Order: sequence, then C-alpha cells, then structure tokens
Amino acid sequence: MSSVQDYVTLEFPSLPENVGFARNATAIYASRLDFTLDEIDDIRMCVSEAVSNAVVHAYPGGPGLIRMHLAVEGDKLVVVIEDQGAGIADVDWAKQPSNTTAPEEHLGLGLYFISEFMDEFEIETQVGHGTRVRMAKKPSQAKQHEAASSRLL
Amino acid sequence: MGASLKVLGETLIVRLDGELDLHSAAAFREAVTAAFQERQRLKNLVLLMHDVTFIDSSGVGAILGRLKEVSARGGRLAVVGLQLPVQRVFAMSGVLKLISVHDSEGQALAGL
Repeated sequence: MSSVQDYVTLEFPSLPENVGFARNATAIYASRLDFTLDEIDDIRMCVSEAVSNAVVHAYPGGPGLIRMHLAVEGDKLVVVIEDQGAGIADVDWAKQPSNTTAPEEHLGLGLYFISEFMDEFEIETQVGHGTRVRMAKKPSQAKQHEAASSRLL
Repeated sequence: MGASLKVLGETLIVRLDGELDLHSAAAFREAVTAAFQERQRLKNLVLLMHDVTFIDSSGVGAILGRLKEVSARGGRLAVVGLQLPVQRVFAMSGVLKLISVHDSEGQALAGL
C-alpha cells in the first residue's frame, strides 16, 4: 500500500469572512489528533490571527490569494498559511507585542499570540513577494506520553 | 455574530453572540458607533458576552476602540459574562486592567 501523507490544502481570497472558515476548518481537521478542547481553542485562535494578518496586511490594493495547508506529521498538527502579498519589512519588530503597521484598533498581538500558543512558529517573508507562516502543535497528551517513555528508557 | 442593542438612560447595552473576529468586529463597531451618534446623551456601554464563544485580537481591538469612544464621552465600559476561552484572550491581551468584568447585567449597571 502506498503511504500518502495526510493533508488538506485550501485556497481562498483574503476576505474577512474567510477568517472564520479558515479557523473552524482547522479545528475540525485538528480533531483527528488527541488535542484537548483548550488546545483546539488555542489552534483556532492562532489560525484566526495568521489569516487576519494576511487579510489586513498582505494585499492593501484589494483581495488576493491565501493558501492554507494543514497536515498531520507524526503526532503533530502543522499549519502553513501563505500569501503572495506585501511581505513584512521587519519580522522581529512585528513579533513584539503591540507593534503593528495596521490602522488603529488593530492591537499588534497576533504574532505574539501565535508564539505563545503554538509549539513551533516560523515566518518566511520577502517584501513585495509574500509571507509564509508555519506553525505546529503537538497534543499535550502525546508530549506526556513521550516524557513517560523517555523516563522508562 | 449577532448583536442586539437596547438603551437604558445614558447606557447602551449590547448583547453579542457567536464569534468576534476581524469580520464580525466591523459590524459590531458600526452598530455601536451609529447608536452613539444617533443618541448624544449615551455615554456608557455594557457588553453582554455570555454567548460569545470565540474572540481573537481583532475582537479585543474592537472592544478597546469602543472603550476609547465611551471615554471620550466621559463614560465607562463594562463587560458581562465571559466564557473561559474569551476570558483567557482578555487576560493575555492585558485588557482586564482596563475594562471591568461582571457576572450579571445588574452588577455591571450598578458599577457604572
């Protein structure tokens, strides 16, 4: 039997109404792993933040394409959100809480939340070419299992 | 997300439900701002949030924006009934220091 990696890829325009679809589709996909409800909530929020960033920042001239890739790699969920938009000029600055180039009422907390709630978080970005956010999370029960196994070794 | 509004003296009471994100925050902002513009005597805002199941930083930003709006009128903002996931996002955003949270509408109104 061939081994096909389990994944889902979605493409949608950068419209605010697609933010909810993206996070709830991810929550449904994530439920195949052994996440707690709190962890699913964390994942929903991080996807909401990343997709909202793409909607607000990537395409100032009008809606562009967002691509979301969900995969199970081993026992962790991997989420990749990509756009081909404006890019981020200074990623380290943007990751700091309260730093944002968006107009008022945007708090600049999105990337900070993702770094707090996910186990892995990387951004690749090039000004004028787009941004790729990759985040991953492992269920806490899988982490406990690993810790218990390593104690037995 | 849904929102229903009622007026009690100088206070606008808004019942929210569903998910407060980038999309629904825009509708929430417009509804509240329009109500405040229509009725100049309004100065306080109470948000009934028992049925809000999700909020992200866009939702929190929209609430802080309304805090600015009521502060400019010399009023106050109170929120009522935060579900646990919503409470966690409020705490992480640091807004619990700025906004009073209550268990009931009566308590919120009494605290204004």
